[in-house]
Amino acid sequence: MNHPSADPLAQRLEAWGREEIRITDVRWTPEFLHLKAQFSRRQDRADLVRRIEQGTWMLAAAAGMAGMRLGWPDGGWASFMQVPLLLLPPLFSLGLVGRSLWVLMEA
Amino acid sequence: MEPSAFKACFEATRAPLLAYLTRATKNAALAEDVLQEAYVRLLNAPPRDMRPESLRSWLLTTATRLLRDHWRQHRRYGWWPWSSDLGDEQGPAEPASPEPPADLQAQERQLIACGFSGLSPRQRSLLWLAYVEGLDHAELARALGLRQGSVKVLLHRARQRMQQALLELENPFPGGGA
Repeated sequence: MNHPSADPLAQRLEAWGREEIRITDVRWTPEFLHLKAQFSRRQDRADLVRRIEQGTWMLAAAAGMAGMRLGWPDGGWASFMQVPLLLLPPLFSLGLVGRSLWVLMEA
Repeated sequence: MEPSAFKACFEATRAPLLAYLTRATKNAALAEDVLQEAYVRLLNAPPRDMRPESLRSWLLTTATRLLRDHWRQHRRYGWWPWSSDLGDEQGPAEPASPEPPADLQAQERQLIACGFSGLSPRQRSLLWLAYVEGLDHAELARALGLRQGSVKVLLHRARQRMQQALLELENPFPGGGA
């Protein structure tokens, strides 16, 4: 216990606080908070998707540049690296288009 | 979280929490924002322990941490010209009353409110949580992100400052004869 009953300051603060609580009026309802929570969840999801998209575009661009730099696979040792690098950008683009369609359909 | 359980929790905690936040921030709009955010967090990521007393403590802790984050952000970015919306302690928390209140109870309320508003944000949180909400030192430490030893020292200082403020308000001209 923080305040023994003999502590006048604690008693005054407590009495004042109780009165403040008694006269406090909250204007919004639980339903409003449910809506706000729902909106917040959607916004969080949208933020996450946007970050994934940004990262994906950067990866795709880096992979595309690396693939162009190496050129078309010639069957040598570099093919092992080149094929996935050349495939990554179109795959990412397809994925993004698919995701966008899914989001549009969900909305 | 079930809507009925949330409604019961909301009904039980809304007034104490809003009163605390309004007094701690001295800004009604900021207090409402922080409280709404605390409830949104409760709905989106409820704690494991759903007993009413634990929920009350969880909400107090979450609201206090949100306030702490706000003040940190304000300290860090408050000087930026475009960060005026971060500012607290500007809102109409308490209506200004030019006339002194007639009855003794109202005078006492105004006196304590005035002394309380002169404290730092952390001191206001400490005093309210300790004496109005009755949190113990461990709970205070958790809510404010402090060590228990620090809580004792800071609470003592806050009490001293509040006592000093009340003394000055009750006796504005010490030693001065009419």
